[in-house]
Amino acid sequence: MANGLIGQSRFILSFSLAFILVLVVGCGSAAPTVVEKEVIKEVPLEVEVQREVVKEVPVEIEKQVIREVPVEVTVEKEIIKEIPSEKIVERVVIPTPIPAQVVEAKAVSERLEKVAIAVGGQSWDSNYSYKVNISGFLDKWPVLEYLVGVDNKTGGYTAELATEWSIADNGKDWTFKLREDVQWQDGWGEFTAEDVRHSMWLLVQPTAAPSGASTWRKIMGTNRGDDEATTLARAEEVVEIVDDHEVVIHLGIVLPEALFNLGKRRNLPMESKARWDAVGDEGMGEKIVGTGPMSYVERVEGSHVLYDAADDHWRVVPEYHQLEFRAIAESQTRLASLLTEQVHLSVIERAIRDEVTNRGFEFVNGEFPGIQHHWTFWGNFHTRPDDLDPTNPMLIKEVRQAMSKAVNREAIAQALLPGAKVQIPSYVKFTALDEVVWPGLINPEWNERWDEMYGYDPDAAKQLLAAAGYPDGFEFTLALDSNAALPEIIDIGQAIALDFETIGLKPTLANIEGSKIRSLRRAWDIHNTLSGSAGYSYTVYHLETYYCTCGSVRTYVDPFLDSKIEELNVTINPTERTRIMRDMGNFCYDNFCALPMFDVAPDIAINPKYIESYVFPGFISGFYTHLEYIETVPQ
Amino acid sequence: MQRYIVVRLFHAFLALFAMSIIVFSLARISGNPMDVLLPEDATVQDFEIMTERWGLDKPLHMQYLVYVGNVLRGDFGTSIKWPGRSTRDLILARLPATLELSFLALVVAALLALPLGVMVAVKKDTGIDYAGKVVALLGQAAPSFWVGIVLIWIFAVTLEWLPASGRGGLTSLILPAFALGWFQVAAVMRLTRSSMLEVLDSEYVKLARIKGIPNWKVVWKHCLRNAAIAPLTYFGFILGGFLTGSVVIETVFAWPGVGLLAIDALRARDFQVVQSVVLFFGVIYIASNLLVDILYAYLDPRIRYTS
Repeated sequence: MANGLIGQSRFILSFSLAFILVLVVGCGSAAPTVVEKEVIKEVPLEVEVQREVVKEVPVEIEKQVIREVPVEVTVEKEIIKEIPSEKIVERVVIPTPIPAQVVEAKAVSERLEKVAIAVGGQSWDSNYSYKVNISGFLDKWPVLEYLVGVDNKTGGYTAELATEWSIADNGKDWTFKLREDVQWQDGWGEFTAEDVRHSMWLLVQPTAAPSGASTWRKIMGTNRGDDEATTLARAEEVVEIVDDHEVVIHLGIVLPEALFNLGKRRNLPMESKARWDAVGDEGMGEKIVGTGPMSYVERVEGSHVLYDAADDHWRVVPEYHQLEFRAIAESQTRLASLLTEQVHLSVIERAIRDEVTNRGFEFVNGEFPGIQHHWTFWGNFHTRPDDLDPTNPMLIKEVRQAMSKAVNREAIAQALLPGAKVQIPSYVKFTALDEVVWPGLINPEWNERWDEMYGYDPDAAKQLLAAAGYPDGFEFTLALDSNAALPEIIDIGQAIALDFETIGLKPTLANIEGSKIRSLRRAWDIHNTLSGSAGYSYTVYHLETYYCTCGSVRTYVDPFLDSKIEELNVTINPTERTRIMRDMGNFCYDNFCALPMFDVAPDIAINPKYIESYVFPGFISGFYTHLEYIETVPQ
Repeated sequence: MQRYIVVRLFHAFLALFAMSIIVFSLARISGNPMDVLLPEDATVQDFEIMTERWGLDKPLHMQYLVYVGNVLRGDFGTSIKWPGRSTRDLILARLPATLELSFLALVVAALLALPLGVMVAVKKDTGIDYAGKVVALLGQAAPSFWVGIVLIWIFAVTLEWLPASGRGGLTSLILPAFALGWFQVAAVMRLTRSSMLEVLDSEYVKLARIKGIPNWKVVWKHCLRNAAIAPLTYFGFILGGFLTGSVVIETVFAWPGVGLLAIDALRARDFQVVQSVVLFFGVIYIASNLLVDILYAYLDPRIRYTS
């Protein structure tokens, strides 16, 4: 018996160790928490441009004021005056606001009792808007509103809490006219300019931890570690209050594309100053209070968030009384919850799509391909000779091209993403959406030369490898890590490994967490490794972050790219900015800076018995926005 | 007896100490926690400031001492995924859901395993005994997540009797409790069977039968009372198992307890919460084992002297 007891003690210890080991292993394969996608798209409008200011300086920018109008097309007039030939006239083109989609309310009796949506385990589970990553906004969109919204069909900027906006000739000062008679929920009064200043301050005050914190600090001219008084003082300088319904935001940097940051595509929701003054930082975590068409009822951590739909709202009265987000981590359980009608919309893994469609359920896709998938050749630190590993074959352009041509993208997409809306070719971080903001951004030659440059051709790939001095291939690490935006990424990694083996390469598949890669790349110490990513970045953000020595991610850096970023940072003219970015795109395309795979539109399964239509743009982080516009089937 | 308890407590303390080191190391195994905490676009300055703020610039042994000091003061750190929430509060908030589930799983295990164990012992080497062995084998071999999913597909999707997921009333509790208890049903049934076989063979049972006491009374009153000591003390042990087993079952059934908290924290790389949950489960496990050890010693005086 004594032996038994001693054995039991050993068992206790062994079990504890084993349990911890299990958690460590689990940690290694867990999905990443943060998925960021940034994208912008300007809606094409029929515009008459009025140009009436000609200034006697080398670079001048004409201010345009664009007002919300009750028709779908906003009209500006352009009057061209005589311009001395040596004078340069520039304009800052800003996206025109589309009137917010206003939907007439259905009769109360016709509204569905509740719409429930099942999503996977969420990376954030909090009522704070300024302490979570942008992916944590999924359960805040129903309540919070923005100065600038996003149209769910076109992806264009809509006039939400701002009715009109304009930019000054220095590329920094933005004027916003605010919507009047908008009331905060819970009786916190009317939405005013004070709330705009407060909302911007929230993102840089000491307790804040938002997405793009460093960008927000640049915009606000603050530093990490600044105290409350300093940040408040900066907020007062940056956000000038003209009156209760007009503000001028003096950005700390030139940012002609600032609507991206100041609108729903990023993380500047409006929060009530009166509420903050009354409840403080701690109280802000108790519930979500906004001006939106839904009001917060409860959050049960790890379980669900429940909202009541408004019976009256200037923008939309949802066709249901309640909305519920249910967090269901296990994919089979989400499927069962959809089939048993516990939920009406559910995120479903593509591998089990047939289970859904065979039972009469349907999938709806995002309007845009919000998931851009590519792989990074690590070690290309060409601005830092001391950090280059000369033995790294991935430094050789022909090797990178060979690897790009070894991958059969169509076959992989067909096998691993059945039924998904996939787009090939894909130009890493240069998309059709971005082309609308910066016309001419995408070089048509990229498409024309795709087959020759990147198209699947294992024989050509072998020849390129031989030409590069690797006729028998080489060994390298293929880093695998899960990704919430593209759960199939590990399968895709295994598939491209097989393609690589076909041309003689010898990949070693390794589970390496994203945080480990971050740590290595921060030290410029990751070489001869291929790692995958899936998400969406606004082109200008991506170029600065990924292709510049000054950036924080630095997947491929080169003196040419650095010089272009420097040029970009002092250029306001949109045509020039476009040209600079396209030059960078040309360089990256020609030098195979990354291995592009494909763009994929996010999707969600719906129960057609209850949901008639759900339209969402699909490029905003978290994907499932605009739930207030769901059309339900009359019951 | 006192000496025995002191020795057991010392063993428990050693196990806790070892666990605290492992738990502390967890956050540092996969690199700098700042890579998890800070966003992708964080600057070098951000790293430096946050590293200093979290005390990660200090030597490891100093960091460990600070960690232990904080834990002893009841400060388990602040969550990353749930901003502004202490990890202790998070665990306490989720604990009722896990206890509710574990308690019902315990009831399921007891109600099924004891009668089944008695039955297969009484019917030794018959078809019923073999069937019981198959049940035990399946129970111990089938992974609990698989059992959970099968139950969902049978009782929620096909028969539509019970909800597939979530926490809301007794109906939502039945499937996860059964799935959690199923593994232990097999274990307790085997234990009951062995104990019953031993008791059924004893002299006093033969005497009771000779005296003409009805068989059902012999089995269910006289035998089970003695045979139940082993499985009943084992229940203390499996309660700890239920708490830790809840990690899988709560995830499958979207049951918002401590187990799901651990998984959510892992997905979010919230190492503060992961550390606390592992420590919490470890303490529960060690405490329940300590309790079982003491209980055994109380029931069997020989243990006190031999140990």
